[in-house]
Amino acid sequence: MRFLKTILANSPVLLIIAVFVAVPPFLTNTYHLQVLVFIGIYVVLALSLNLLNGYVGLLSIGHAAFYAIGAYASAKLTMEMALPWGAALVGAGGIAGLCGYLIAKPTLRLSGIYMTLVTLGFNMILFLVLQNWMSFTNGPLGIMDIPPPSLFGFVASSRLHYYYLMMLLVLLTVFSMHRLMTCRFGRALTAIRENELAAEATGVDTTRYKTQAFVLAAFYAGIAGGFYAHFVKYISPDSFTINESFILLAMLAFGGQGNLIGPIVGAAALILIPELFRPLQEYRMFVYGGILIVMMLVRRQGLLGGRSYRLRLTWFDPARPRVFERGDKFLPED
Amino acid sequence: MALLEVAGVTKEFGGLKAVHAVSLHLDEGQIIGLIGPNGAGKTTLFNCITGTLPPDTGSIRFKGEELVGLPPHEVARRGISRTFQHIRVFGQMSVLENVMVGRDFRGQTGIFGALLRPPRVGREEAENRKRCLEVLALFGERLLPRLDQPARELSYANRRRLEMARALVAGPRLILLDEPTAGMNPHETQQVVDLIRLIRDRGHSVLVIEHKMKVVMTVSDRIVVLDHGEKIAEGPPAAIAADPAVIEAYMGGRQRAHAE
Repeated sequence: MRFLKTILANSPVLLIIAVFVAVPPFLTNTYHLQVLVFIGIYVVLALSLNLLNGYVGLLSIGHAAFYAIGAYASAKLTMEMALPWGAALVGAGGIAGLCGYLIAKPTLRLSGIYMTLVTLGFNMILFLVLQNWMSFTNGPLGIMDIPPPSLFGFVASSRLHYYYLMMLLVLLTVFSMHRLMTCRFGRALTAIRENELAAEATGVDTTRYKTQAFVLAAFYAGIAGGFYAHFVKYISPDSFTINESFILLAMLAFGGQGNLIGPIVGAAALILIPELFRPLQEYRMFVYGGILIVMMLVRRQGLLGGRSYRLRLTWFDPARPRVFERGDKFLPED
Repeated sequence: MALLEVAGVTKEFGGLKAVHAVSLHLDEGQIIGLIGPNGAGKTTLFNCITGTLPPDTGSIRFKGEELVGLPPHEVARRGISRTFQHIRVFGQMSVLENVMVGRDFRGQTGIFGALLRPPRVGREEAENRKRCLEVLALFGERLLPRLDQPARELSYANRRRLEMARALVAGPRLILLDEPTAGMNPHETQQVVDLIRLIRDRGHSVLVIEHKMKVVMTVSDRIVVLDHGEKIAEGPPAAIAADPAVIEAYMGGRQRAHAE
């Protein structure tokens, strides 16, 4: 009992996770579950974009391209190569990551706005390719009847199953990103964002780190795409337009970037807002836009942006005293 | 053999020769002061040495190896660290993290290491932390009590110290300090002077740009004077203080001569 208490006191995240695991079975409305799954997909997407926009400070405005690549890759791998869903999902991430590498390698030499334009162009070109490559993507008609996710003989059949799979994916994403960001890798990325010149001068190989971040971001987006394809079971190019990329950017702007909490909050809020205001019918987008504008006026860095938070994501973290490791022990004795 | 050998380095911006055919050399364990009026090309020379702005012509050899053409991070890896005239700390990161970035290139942990966290990652982080704390201890009680504070919240002088700590922790053979006492009061300036000597005693050579004459004269083994991108004098502090060319450059004797 005491052990349990310490865990909860030291890892409030566990409590939040417990709520998200325990409550959904009591939701009888499948629509609610559906919204939750969509929030999950967008949480992964927003977090993946956050790697670039939030941590490294590279502005990518065509991130939906990698989401699309993941979705199409996963659909194709399961339907034509008969791969199990788990393998197809990893494959989708891998293919998206590879595309990320091919884009990053030449464009990271460009700086600032030029690199941003390349990501935008990539998104647009990819949309046209999906739209017109009839023999492979079935063009605007899209791919139908994508099989449901299956893992080791378990086939997802109800909304609740999807929800738990999504939950698992979100947890894996958050935990893996947390590990990346609390290590040498994350420090280097943040240093590049804070001051690229100084990072270079201290020996940080900025190009290499940026490429790695780009590939990782594409990988996570590909995974999200892979899940999306098997969740809605029908994909068409219309789901992956520039609009989608901008929604992701809005999520980061709303929730705040450069930490792991802001994008989660942003994704959840921007999916929920249009759903909550459904009674207003087409006027709900006014509310959506209004909230974003007010947000930019009142709090430009987003709800939780502009600082880093200490997530105690380890299973057990006996809250170490935060500061004040006095260095007296290193000072010479008087 | 000289540790750093700069030979005939020229850097032009448009038609302006920011640095023109400057040569200097620095032996192991020396403190060299680099002085000159504003716009003399001191910082540009630093940028040439560290690879931030590659020189147009000339050669820069460090431990016998040519540095021209290497990107900045490669120069840093070969053992040259620097601080900046306009402070460039990583504002949102904590003091400790700032310093730990200084040892980034000594790390092995990549993406997979970070994800899987084998024991060696923990050892590397612990070692890294320990070395950083050792270096931070050189600054006494200035930085150590503020390990978890974001760097942007530090006072001006402390941010300068933090930059020096970040440069030192990489364990460089040569450290380039760009106006380390700018904006400091006399007491803090004296601390920096002591620190520069301490750095030398710890086995780092120092090339320092400085405007405060008292500092340069007391701390340097040798002084190099730049004016309008050209080296106008070089020698021990006493000789420099008496050099008419230097006095003219500083006192604007040339303009007076024009007027007459």
